[in-house]
Amino acid sequence: MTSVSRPIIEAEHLSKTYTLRKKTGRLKRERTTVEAVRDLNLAVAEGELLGYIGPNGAGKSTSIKMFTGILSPSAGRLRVAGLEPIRDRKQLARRIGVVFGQRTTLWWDLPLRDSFALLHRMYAVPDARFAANLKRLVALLELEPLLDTPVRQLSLGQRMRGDLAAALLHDPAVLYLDEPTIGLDVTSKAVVREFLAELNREQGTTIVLTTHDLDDIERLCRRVVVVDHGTVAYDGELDTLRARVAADRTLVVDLAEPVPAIAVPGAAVTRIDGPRQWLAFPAEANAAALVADIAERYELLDVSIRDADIEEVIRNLYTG
Amino acid sequence: MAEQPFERRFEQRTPGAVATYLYTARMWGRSAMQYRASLVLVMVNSLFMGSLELFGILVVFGNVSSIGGFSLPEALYLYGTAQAAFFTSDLLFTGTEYLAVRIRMGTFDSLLIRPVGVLPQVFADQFTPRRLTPMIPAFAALVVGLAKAPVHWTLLRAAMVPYTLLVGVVVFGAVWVLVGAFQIVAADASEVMNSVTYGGQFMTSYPLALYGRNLMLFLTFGLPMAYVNWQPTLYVLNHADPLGTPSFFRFAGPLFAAALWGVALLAWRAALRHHRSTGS
Repeated sequence: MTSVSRPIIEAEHLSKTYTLRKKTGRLKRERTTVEAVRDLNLAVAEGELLGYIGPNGAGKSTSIKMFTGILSPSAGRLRVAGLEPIRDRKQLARRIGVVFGQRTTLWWDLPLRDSFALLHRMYAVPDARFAANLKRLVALLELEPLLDTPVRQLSLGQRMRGDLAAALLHDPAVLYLDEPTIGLDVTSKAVVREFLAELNREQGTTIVLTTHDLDDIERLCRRVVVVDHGTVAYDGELDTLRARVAADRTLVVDLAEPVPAIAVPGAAVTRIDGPRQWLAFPAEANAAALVADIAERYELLDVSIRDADIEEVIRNLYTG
Repeated sequence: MAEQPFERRFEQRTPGAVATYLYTARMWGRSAMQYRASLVLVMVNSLFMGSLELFGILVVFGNVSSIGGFSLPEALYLYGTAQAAFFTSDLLFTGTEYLAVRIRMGTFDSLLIRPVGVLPQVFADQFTPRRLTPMIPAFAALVVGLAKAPVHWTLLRAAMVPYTLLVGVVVFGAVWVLVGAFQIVAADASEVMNSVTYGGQFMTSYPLALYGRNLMLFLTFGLPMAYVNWQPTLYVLNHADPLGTPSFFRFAGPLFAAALWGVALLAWRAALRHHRSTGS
């Protein structure tokens, strides 16, 4: 199957328009149409690990819901694993796994093992295949001691590992992850990331990762798709994105007293709040020199440096 | 091969509607069993409430000898068929009542990503053995009423008893589907449907003659809940219809049930389409 490799996710001119009815008076209702997704084009090859990012309300979830057969597109063409998501919903469900970081699909009051057993039946996974998959996932995600614990007693990190296993017991070709590391501690994040990298490498599972955590993207994805205003704003390698955007870092200084905006070469004040000022400076510039520069002229109480987060990178994509 | 580039990993078929229902209901039932003390208390409570209503009927008959032309045993039988059918449907299909919450919380979507039917998963939602206890006073009324009522038994009359229950469960089942469809479309006004479900339960529990001619006409020809248990009970107890309808009306239940299911499934499909296009 190497000659003609068709993308496993193909979206062409995909759009989704909602009609919202808003109450404006006692009886009056105003109709507004919202274009959540407009003219979105995306092709994901089998075996890719894709970072799918964008600000809240950009159309990420709406498009993922279309990819998974939950929402029907208003216009455009969509194929996932060669299937039409809404029409072939049940068939598609067997080829995809979905993990919503915020909401577990595990059975709250029952041992983890029981949720897995139900999925075994629902997805009609052959017994031998199921046993092998369960064994592998339990080992990789360190679930052995948790199998008999009711899900409600699991920590957030443990539950996420459980959800990951649950989404993969039927060998899906595509795994969609929505904020899989949200709220997890450093150790759990590391376990999840390592697992995803290995899943992608060893099993060839296509992964679409939605996250606000830039670390997730940096550690896992080579290709990043930025969605903004319902359409693809950037599609390419992470390094290229970073170079193109050249997101500034932010230096936050606490001064002894409020002063007008600090004027130093190589940095610009973006915000002032009493004695605290925010200065943007290029990512590659020397932060220590900048701090020394300011300390020479003003009385400094405290400083901190922030890396650009995803929201900022995306904002810069437009303004820069 | 070129048409199907993505390997189907295994060929076994996913569960059908009944299997999906049973698997899901079993999980919910076992979840409910995790809180045994609470379960027992709620079951005792609902047994008490059901019995209290039955006691109310006895009190009324302490003062009058017949209601709507029905003697005490006859009224008990009618009441029993309505309650037994309603609570059986409640046990089996009432999961649709929780859809509004699922829509608001966004957890309905997790049913859509499974390779099985949506409706069976919804029917089984929040299944709990708690719903077994209200059936005890219901069946008690039915059995006692039948035993004491002056029924001239024939084979057809005997067959009409389980038939009445079956039609009742099927009709109420369709009502639960309608409830589900409504909850998806109007998640913020979900209580409106209570008038249909619990109203239907109430309406069918007492002799229709009690409600007066106009309401009787409506329940026979408008929203024909009369066929659930009123018409077949008229036959079993050998009563004439106060409206003077022809005798084949006694057996029209399945027609009504089939029509109602047709409407309910259309509404359900429309509701799913609505959800797919709005996401909420």
